[in-house]
Amino acid sequence: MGLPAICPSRRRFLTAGAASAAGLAVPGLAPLTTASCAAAATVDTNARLVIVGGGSAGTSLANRLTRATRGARITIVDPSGTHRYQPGDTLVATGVWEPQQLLRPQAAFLPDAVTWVREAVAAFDPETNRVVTETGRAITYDFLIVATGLIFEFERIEGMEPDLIGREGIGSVYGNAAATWPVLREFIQTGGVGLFGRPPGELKCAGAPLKVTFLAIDQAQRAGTRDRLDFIFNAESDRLFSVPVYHDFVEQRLGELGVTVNRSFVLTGIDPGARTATYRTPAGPVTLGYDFIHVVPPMVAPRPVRDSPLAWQEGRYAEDGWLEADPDTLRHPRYPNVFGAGDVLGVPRGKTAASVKAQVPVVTENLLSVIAGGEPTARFNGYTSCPLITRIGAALLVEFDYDGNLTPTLPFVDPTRESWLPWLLKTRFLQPTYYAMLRGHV
Amino acid sequence: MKQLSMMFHVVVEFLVPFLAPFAVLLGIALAVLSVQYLVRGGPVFAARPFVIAWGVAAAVAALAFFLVPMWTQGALADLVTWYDWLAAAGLATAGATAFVIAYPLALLLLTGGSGGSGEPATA
Repeated sequence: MGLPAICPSRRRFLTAGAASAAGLAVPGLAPLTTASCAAAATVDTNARLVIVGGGSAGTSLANRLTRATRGARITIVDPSGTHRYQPGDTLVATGVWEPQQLLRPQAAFLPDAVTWVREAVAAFDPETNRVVTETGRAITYDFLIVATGLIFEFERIEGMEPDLIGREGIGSVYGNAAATWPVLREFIQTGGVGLFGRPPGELKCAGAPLKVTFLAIDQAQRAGTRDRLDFIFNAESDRLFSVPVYHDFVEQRLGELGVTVNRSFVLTGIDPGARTATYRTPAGPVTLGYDFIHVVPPMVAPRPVRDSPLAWQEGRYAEDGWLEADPDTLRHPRYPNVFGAGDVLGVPRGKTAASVKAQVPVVTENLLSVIAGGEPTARFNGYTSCPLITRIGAALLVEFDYDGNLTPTLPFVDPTRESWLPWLLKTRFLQPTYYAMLRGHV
Repeated sequence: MKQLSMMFHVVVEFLVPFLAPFAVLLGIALAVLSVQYLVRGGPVFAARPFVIAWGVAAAVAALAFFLVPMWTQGALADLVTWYDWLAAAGLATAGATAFVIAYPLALLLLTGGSGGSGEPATA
């Protein structure tokens, strides 16, 4: 078992600088974490590494760990045979992309050396270092990576269920982006009231509800029906974006676009037949009629994580069962042979593919360090990115860290100004970058 | 080196969807060469003026292919910063380059390089 070498920081700086200068960098490619290139070295080990979840984090880790270890027995547990490019869901839900642009076979991204158990995990037992699948199969591990993602709880909204998406004027980029565009298009064509918004709590790509709103308005303007439509955005708090500069931008833009903004409106119920939605507000329940509603469901950790000792036991992440992890090293504080990555993490930010990109090298390096008998040294800085689309052909390249500091990858791009380049990145370059990330190359 | 490796893989992923159109371009170039072969009644021939003409026409066509739709859709108005224009020019140049190299590549494939001097391969 050999300790990986640490790359000289000067070389790292120069190569990164050269790549940026060449105009080749795209968001998520720059050295955004303190993870060194130690993970590039190969570690000899016969450890059993189990990755639960085959989404962006799990698949990327499977590839990286396969290359970074020699002799390790790596198993990935995930039932899905199809990999969906989720960052494209906002474009599908608003009719910019076709749904099939998002789908690829999962097998295309998994290395041959990895054992793929095509089942869902039903339980975690970190005391005995085992996970149990839905068929009762027990898989023992020496090191575990939890990358299950999250689940949507539409049921927390009274009267709402996932099957309603695509019917009765109900759409959701989260539950079924493909079914959303037909009902949104019908709303744009026929006119009426459109309700948008977001719930409280942790959210996968928290900018997505705003993107859907902006793109729906743009599609209406392009269709020439904007005058027949009322757009209402119901925010769950008094903030429209967590980072102040973007809150100000969004607030101003929604005003310019004639969108009514309600603050502290939390969707609690929906009546599909009557096409009404009920909100909890400081002044009591308020019911609004709609012709189209974009429902953003509450999001929680999957049940097996929630019910396991791996979940936070107290604090703000405990109620929804998010995976407990040190926000910097992404290692479980109570079970040191367990790491987490992706949406399931109970950390202040990071439910985006860009965060996964930044987390995966950290987890890889820290896991290798622990396998080698050392301590985790790589740090995740909370990097997240959201190309905030404001209309077809324009976006802001939003990037920030745990503290809300702007962390632009492209130093020449003004992160507070709408322009075409971020739109180009979103629609042309991020998907190939994502696939390269899945293969562990980025 | 690691950064360059990352860039390489992203570029490869980016280019994969464009391989099919490039294959079409290559097919057009091969067709042109085949006609040339029939007209000349001899081995494949690479006249330098023809190669140059191809290159110029292809570059113009590629630029038009990229920029005209943007113009007709009003999307050129989306280019509001200097880096927007730089990116658009870069993409148009990349497209034009693909058009331009299709013909020499087809020539290379057909002649094994012997016809690339501007002289008849068996003169």
